[in-house]
Amino acid sequence: MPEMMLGSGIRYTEIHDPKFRSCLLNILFYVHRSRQTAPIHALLPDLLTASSAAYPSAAEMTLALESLYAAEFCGKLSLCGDDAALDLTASWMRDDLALSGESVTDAMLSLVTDALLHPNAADNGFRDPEFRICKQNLLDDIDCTRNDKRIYTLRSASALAYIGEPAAIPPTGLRSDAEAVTPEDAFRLWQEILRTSQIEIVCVLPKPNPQIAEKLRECFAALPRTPETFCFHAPSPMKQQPAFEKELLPVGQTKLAVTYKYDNIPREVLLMLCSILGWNSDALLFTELREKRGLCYYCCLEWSSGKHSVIIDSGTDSADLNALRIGIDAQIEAIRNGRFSDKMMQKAILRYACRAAAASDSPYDLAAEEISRLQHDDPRSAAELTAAMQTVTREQIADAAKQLRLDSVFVLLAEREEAAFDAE
Amino acid sequence: MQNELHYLTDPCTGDICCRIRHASGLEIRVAEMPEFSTAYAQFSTRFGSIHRCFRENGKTFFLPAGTAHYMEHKLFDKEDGDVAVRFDDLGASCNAFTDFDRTVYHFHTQHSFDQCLQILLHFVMTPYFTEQTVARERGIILQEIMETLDDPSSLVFNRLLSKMYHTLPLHPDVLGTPESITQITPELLRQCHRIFYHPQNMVLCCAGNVNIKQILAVADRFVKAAPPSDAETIFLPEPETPVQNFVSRRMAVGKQQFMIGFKSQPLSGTERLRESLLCSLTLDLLTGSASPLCRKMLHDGLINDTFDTECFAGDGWFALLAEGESDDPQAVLDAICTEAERVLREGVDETLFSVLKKGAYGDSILGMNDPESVCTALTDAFMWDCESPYLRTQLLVSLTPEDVRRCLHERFRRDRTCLSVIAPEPLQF
Repeated sequence: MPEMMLGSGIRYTEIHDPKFRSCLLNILFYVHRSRQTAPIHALLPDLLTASSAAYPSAAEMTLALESLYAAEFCGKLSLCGDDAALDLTASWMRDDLALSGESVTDAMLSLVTDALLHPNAADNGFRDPEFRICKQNLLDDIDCTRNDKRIYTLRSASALAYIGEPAAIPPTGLRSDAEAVTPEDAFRLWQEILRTSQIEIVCVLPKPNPQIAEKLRECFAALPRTPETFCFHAPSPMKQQPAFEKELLPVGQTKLAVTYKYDNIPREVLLMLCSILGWNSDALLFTELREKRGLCYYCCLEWSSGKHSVIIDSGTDSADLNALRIGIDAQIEAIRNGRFSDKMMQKAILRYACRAAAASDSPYDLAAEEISRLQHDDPRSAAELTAAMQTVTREQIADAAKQLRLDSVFVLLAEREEAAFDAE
Repeated sequence: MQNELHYLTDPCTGDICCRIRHASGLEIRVAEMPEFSTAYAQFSTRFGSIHRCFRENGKTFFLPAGTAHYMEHKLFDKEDGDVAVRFDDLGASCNAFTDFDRTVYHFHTQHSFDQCLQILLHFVMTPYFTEQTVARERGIILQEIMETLDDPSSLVFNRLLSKMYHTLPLHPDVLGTPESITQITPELLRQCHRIFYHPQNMVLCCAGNVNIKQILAVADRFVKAAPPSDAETIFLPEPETPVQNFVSRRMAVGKQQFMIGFKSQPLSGTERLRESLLCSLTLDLLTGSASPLCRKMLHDGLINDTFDTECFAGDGWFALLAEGESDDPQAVLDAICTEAERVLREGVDETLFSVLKKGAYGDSILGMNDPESVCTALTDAFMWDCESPYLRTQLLVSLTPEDVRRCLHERFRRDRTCLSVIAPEPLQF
C-alpha cells in the first residue's frame, strides 16, 4: 500500500484493487473545534462541494458531475475526539467504462482540486446565493435536530458526558453561533484550514495511477503550509458524581443513553469487551434485555476511543425505563464477574476478522478502514489486531469491565409518562 | 423434475448471472463474482404487508396488519434459541426485512458459505411458533412500532399512503399497529407460512464469492417440492384518484415536513421497470439539482437540501413522490405542477435530458459492483417479473424526450395529487 508525504502535513495513501469499477478519493482536513468555529466547520463541506469558481452554482456542479457518469463529490463533518475532520469524498467511474473513451479521472481531479483551491468566492468571502442557501440548510438542520429522537438523544448524551470539552459542541454548532457566520468568516477560516490543518488523503483505484499523487502534490504545493499538531486521543475526565438529565417531549417512546468512561483499556481488549456486551448476536445487552425480557427493540453500544467512553442507548416504555437502566448495569456487572463464555470470546474475534475482510469488497470501506487505522494511531494491520485479540484473556476482559464507570445518564422522556422516571 | 439452468449476460459490462428453475419449483438466481471475498445470499418470499386478504378452499381470510413482519421476527426464533447466533458462530452476519410486497432473509459471510446457506434455507422453511414465543415477541414489535410513530419521516409517508389508496393495503405501516399485532396467533402464522413460504412463491439469490454447483447441492438437500396451494391473494379494485388531497398532523418536529404523491396507473414486468426509469429521469429533469425549478425553489427558500424525489412502484401501485421540509408545502406542489405544464408546453430541455441519461448510465454500471447490490438486483428482478437483472442499461438507452412528454402528461396530474404535512407542535416545556 504506497504511502507518501505530498507536502508538509499532507499524507497520501493509495490502495489498488482491479475488481472495482469506480475510483475513490477521500480527503480529510483535520481541524480544532471551538463554539465559534463549529458552525463554519459544519458549513464548509457543503460550501466546497456544492459549487466552485468553475461551477458557480449547485445546478452547474450537478450538471458537471452527471456528465461524468454520475460522479459524486460530497462532504461531511466527522468528529474525532475533541477535533474534527472536513471529510470530502469524490468517486467516479473508471476510465475504460466511459462511452467515448474520455478520461473521467482527469476531469474529476481537476474538478476537485479547483473546488479546494478556487472555491465559489469573491472579495474574500463565499458568494451568494450559494452561501445563503448552504447557511439556511445548516440552520434548518439545527432546527430539526429533534426530528430523529435517537440521534437527538445521543447528541444530548454527548453534551452531558463531555460538558466543558470541545466534544460537547454539537456537530452543527449552536444556532446563535451559526446565525452569526458571514461569508467572510467562512472564507477566512477555509484559508486558515488550508494553511494549518493536517491533511489525510486516501485514494482507492483499480490500478496504480501516479498522476493522481502528482496532481495533488502540485495542488497543495501552491499553499503556504504551517500545519498544526493533532491528537485524537483526548480522554474525557470522569465526573465526581454521575450526572442525570432528562428532557420531556411529546413522544410515545422514551429514549435512554448511558455513558460510561474508562481510564486505559488496550484496543484489542476493548474490542472484545464491546462485542461480548453489545455487538455479537448473542451479546448480553441483546439477549438479556431484548430477547429474554422484551424491554426494547434495540440496545446499541458505541465506543469512542478518543474520549475513552462507551455509550449504550435504547428505547422503551417509560414504565420499563428503570428496569432497562438497571439491566444495562447488570450486564456490565456480569462481565466484571466473568459471566461470559469462551465461545463469546471466540465469536468476538471471528466477528472482527470477518468485518475487516469484508472491507476489501468496497472502496468506501477500504478507505474508511485505512483512515480509522491512521486516526487510532495504531500501526497494526487488521490481521495483527486479530492476532492480538486472540491473546486477550478472560481476566483482561473482566478487568476492563471493572474500569467502566457510570458517567452520565440522559433520558428523553415521553411526556405522558413523567411520573415513571426515577433518575436514581 | 430436473433443475433448469439459463445464463444471462449484461451487454454493457459482460457480467453474467444464472437463472435456475429448481426441481422444487424455487427460482434460484446466482451471480458468481470470484474476485470478491464476500458471499451474499437473499431468500425471499412474495409475502409482504400488502398481502392482507386471500382465498383458500373457497374461504376468504383476512390478515391483521403486520402479519408478514411478525412472521419475519418469529422465523428467527427456534426451539434451541435465536438462529442468528448460528450465523454468528460461523462469522456470518444475518438479518431480514419486510416490505410492502416481500419478506427478505439475508446473510453475508467470508467463509463457510455452504453451512450458512443450509441454515438460511432450513430456518426460513421450518416454522416453530408457540403461544409463548409469539406472545413474547409482541413487546419487542410494539417498541419497534412506537419508534416509527415518533419518526416524522415514517409518519408523513404512512399518512400520505393512507390518503392516496382506498383499498390497496399500503397502510397501516408494514409493522402493523399496536392493536393489530395483538390478533396474530401461532395458528395464523402457521397458515401463512404454509401458503406464502411455498417454493413456487420464493426466490433464492446469491452473489459474490459463490458457485452455482455449491448452491444447487444445498438447495437439493434443503428445499423440497411442496403440494401446490390453491390460495389466491385478493386485491380489491383501486380507484384512480386519491382518497383525499390533503392530510396533516402535528408532532415534535423542528420544521414542517411534507410529502407529495402523484398517483397514477400501475404497470407490471419490464414495462414497469422502463416506466420507473423514465419517471426517475423525468423527476430529475423537473426538480433535480440541475433543474431551473430546483434552483428557483432553493433561492426563494421554499425548499432546502432535504428535498428529494422518487418513483414508488410495485404490484398494483405506481406513484411519484417528492418530500422535504418547507414552510409552504402547497406552494411546492403548485410549483411542480406548473413546471410540468411549462415543460409540456415549451418542450423538454434535450441537453439536460442527455446529460441526465449519461448519469443514469453511470449509476447503472456502478450499481452492480458489489455482492450485496448485485444480489438485491437479482431479487428485485424476480419480484418485478423481469427476466434479467441487466435490463436497466438497455432500457435507459431506449428513453426519448417524447417518452418524457408522455410521462408528464399521464403521471403529473393535479387531480391525482395528495399532500401530507407534519407541522411542528408548539413545545410546552
